[in-house]
Amino acid sequence: MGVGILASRAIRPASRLLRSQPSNLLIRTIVSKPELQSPEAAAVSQPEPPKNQILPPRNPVGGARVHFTNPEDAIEVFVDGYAVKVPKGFTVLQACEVAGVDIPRFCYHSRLSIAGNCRMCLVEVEKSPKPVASCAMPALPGMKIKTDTPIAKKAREGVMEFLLMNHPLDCPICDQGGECDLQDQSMAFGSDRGRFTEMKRSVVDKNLGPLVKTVMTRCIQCTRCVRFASEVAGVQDLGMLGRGSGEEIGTYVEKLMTSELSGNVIDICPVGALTSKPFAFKARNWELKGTETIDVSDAVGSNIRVDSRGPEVMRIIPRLNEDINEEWISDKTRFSYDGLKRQRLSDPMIRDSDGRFKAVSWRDALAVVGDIIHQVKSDEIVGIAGQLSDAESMMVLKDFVNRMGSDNVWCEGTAVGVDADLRYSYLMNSSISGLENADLFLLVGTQPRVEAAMVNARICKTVRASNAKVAYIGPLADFNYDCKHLGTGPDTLKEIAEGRHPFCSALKNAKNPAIIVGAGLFNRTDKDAILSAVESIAQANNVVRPDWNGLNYLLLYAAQAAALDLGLIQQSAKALESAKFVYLMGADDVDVDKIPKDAFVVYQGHHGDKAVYRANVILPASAFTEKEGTYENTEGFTQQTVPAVPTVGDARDDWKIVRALSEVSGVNLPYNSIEGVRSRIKSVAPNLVHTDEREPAAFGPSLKPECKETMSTTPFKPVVENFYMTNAITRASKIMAQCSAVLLKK
Amino acid sequence: MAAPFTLRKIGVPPNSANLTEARRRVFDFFRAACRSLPTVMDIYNLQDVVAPSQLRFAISAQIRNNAHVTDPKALPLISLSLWVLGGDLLRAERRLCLRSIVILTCFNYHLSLKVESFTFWIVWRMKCLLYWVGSFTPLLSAKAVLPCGSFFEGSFLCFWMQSSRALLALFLCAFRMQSILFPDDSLLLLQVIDLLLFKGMEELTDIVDHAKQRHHIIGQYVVGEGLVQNTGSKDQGKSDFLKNFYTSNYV
Repeated sequence: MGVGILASRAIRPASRLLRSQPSNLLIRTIVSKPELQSPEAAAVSQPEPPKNQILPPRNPVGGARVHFTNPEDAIEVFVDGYAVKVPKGFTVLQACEVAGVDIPRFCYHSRLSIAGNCRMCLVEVEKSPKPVASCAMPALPGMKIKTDTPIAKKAREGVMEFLLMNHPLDCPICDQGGECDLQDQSMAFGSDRGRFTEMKRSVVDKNLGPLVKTVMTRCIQCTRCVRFASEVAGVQDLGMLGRGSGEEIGTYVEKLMTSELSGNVIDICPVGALTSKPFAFKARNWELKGTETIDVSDAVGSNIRVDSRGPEVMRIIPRLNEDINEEWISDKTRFSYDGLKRQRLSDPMIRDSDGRFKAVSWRDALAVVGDIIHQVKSDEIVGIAGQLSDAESMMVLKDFVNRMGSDNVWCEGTAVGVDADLRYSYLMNSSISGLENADLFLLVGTQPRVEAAMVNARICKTVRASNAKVAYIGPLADFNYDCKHLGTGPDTLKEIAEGRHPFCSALKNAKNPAIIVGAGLFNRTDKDAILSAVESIAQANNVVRPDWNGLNYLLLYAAQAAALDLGLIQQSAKALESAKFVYLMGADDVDVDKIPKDAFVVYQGHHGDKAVYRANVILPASAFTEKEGTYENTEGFTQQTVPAVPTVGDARDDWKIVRALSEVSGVNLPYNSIEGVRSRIKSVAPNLVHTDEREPAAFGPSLKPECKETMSTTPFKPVVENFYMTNAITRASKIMAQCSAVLLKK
Repeated sequence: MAAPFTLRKIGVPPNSANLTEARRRVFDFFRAACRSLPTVMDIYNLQDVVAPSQLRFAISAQIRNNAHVTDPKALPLISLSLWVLGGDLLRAERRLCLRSIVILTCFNYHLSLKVESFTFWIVWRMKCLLYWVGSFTPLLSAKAVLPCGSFFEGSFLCFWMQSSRALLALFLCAFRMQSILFPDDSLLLLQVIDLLLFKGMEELTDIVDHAKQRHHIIGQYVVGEGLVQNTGSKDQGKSDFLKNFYTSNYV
């Protein structure tokens, strides 16, 4: 029995006629208490917590770890009565996170600068006249922070009320519904009734390109996208125009967001103002199944989560990995998934005598290939692995081709003469996260913006944080950070190596110099000379030391590092020209004209891309979202993809096809399961079996013999012509086609 | 054009006297089936899906699948079915209840003849066996033996069972009976062939009567598993890996 009903009994006349059961329930007097009328009164009436209370231990929010750079500088603050030690520069919000209290926020993001304009993170601090914005206030020693007092709660309700005032009632048609910060926080912290009766304002939508859909009426002006674009992406595209309720986020001129990281604003925006245009109206987030896997569009191996509904990939979302991609992924990774639905090979095919392909069964296709491979001499057999091949399939291919008596098996992108003896010569030796410690970058023949967007993001972060200097040797390219263009060709490199260039002094004075060499240089004929010049620069400037190894090689394809570890290198330059049997395992960048006209070409892959047109037999394989494969990224970090959707049609896994082909050809490979393949890989390259671990190179440049060749004078050429179309999947993607038509700088 | 072939409705199941007659019946069935194929293709609109030769192949494959039935050594057990009427066997655990009338039916004329003639012998053997098994309660009242002539071409042997243990014993007896009653197996063989033929005719009649649906036909006779592959000869030397590889990616 509440106070209300008792009080109502006292107030109403005690009439027997009126007092009957149903009317008792209908009449309800509203009674108010002094505590309910103002937050201050409520604060007064709250009982004091007993002193010396033993509180249960708390874990930081999200399992975060706190790193004390200077243990003597730790401060102690009290969060809701709980004492917690934090490093000196921490804000109140970060201190609360360490204490396990998640404070609601809209504009604060841990990887962006502090704005403090949403006011949702207000908490009460003792001895402060008004609640403070915890994201901006530094934590001072002995501060007593209270997050669940009536004042804090009232503040949150008020902020939420203000935000929702001008927010349109778009939830049913908004793509962010179900994963919207505004929805979640209004449920948790907002008040239950609104009192807004005026007209809401609306804002005109901006066109940011074919990737980002904007409904600016939903914008709550948190400026996360503005800060992201200027800090992380390095482009100053977005800004806030106007003041007060007329504020609008946009590009001041009619400009599209051309940055390769533009898709990340979709994740950053807490409301449905910036959403994914290809994903618009396709699915709700609760009907999607998320599979945590790895991206293979470049050599970085960004961690992604593939959201699929049934057999279809609906979207790709980044996953947190502090070492590789932090929380970002490039546009190519994010939006090329619709290429997985087009131009897929689903049945084995054999080319008829009239030149057209005819679908056959697996039995017949493998029987035909098995017959032909025995009619060819062993050194006329060539196997080429593609840029998206996983380590298991490359291992089985190499074993098969070797057992047929041939040594000609290599991976795309490795020209003749690339040797895989010493791992330091093709890995990013300072690791991607280690690039943050560099203070001078020398980029040789590489444009990281188009080759590996996450490495570029890391360089941008370092330049912004510690004012690192960047110098570049190569063709004219645009960078999103300040970069000095030293030259275009090997001449500049020679000058620096001999000490004649003015840049050498900067190199000598740098504490942690980093040299990044692009893998496009591996295809040059004077590759040895160039690489030895680079190594002499490294030697002269103390780049390779026990505590810091700054000599880095940036690979281009996801399969390259694993291929070089497994030993898939091209021994002879004439192998392809004199081949009679060519096995292309997803290899589309092979120069098809070099294959002789009478060679029998087998193409095993998942997309009908360039090389299919030359093939005689097509064997359909599975794409990276459909198979469990091991990939090694450019820094030597081994990761595995996880199948998210089933294979298309009659396709099989790559390694299974080669293993079946070997059995049909009479070659007995000693394994027939994925564990067997992995144990074989373990005997060849054990680092590929230890997933989620980075294996640094064991030896440095000291072991390399002297090189006697001379450098040619041809300048370095750009390796990636079109950022949006680099592999079979992206070339089949409609979104990538739109991007390359609209967003590339002409 | 020749007159369209009409399938005679099968009322009485075949009773072959010897193996040659059974063979003749099989070939007659195959002939009837092939002659009714144009009607079938017309009814179910299979003109674009499959050729008549493929369907003929399918039918002959099914017949060939059972070609091993000519081998007297591979024989199934007698088709006996025990119907338990009017009683719950579990309740028979308690002394008080049950009477379960167990009817030993034989869908088999020849067997029934033999059963008739051997009735008393059977009952006596069962009594001994059951006695030996240990159910002492008065069970087998041999009164209920009803050789019923040609009702379903079988005969009934009714047993008055009063315990589930007895029923179990009866099962054991039935198996023993097979080897006792049929020292030579050829008769049984013929019955099996006749039964299979009956089933085949039944199926054919259903199909011609449009009692089946198109996807049944396509699933069972056009795309069906045992038809295209697994004739045995091609898959001899292959490993499990290769067999699984040909089947699916996820085997």
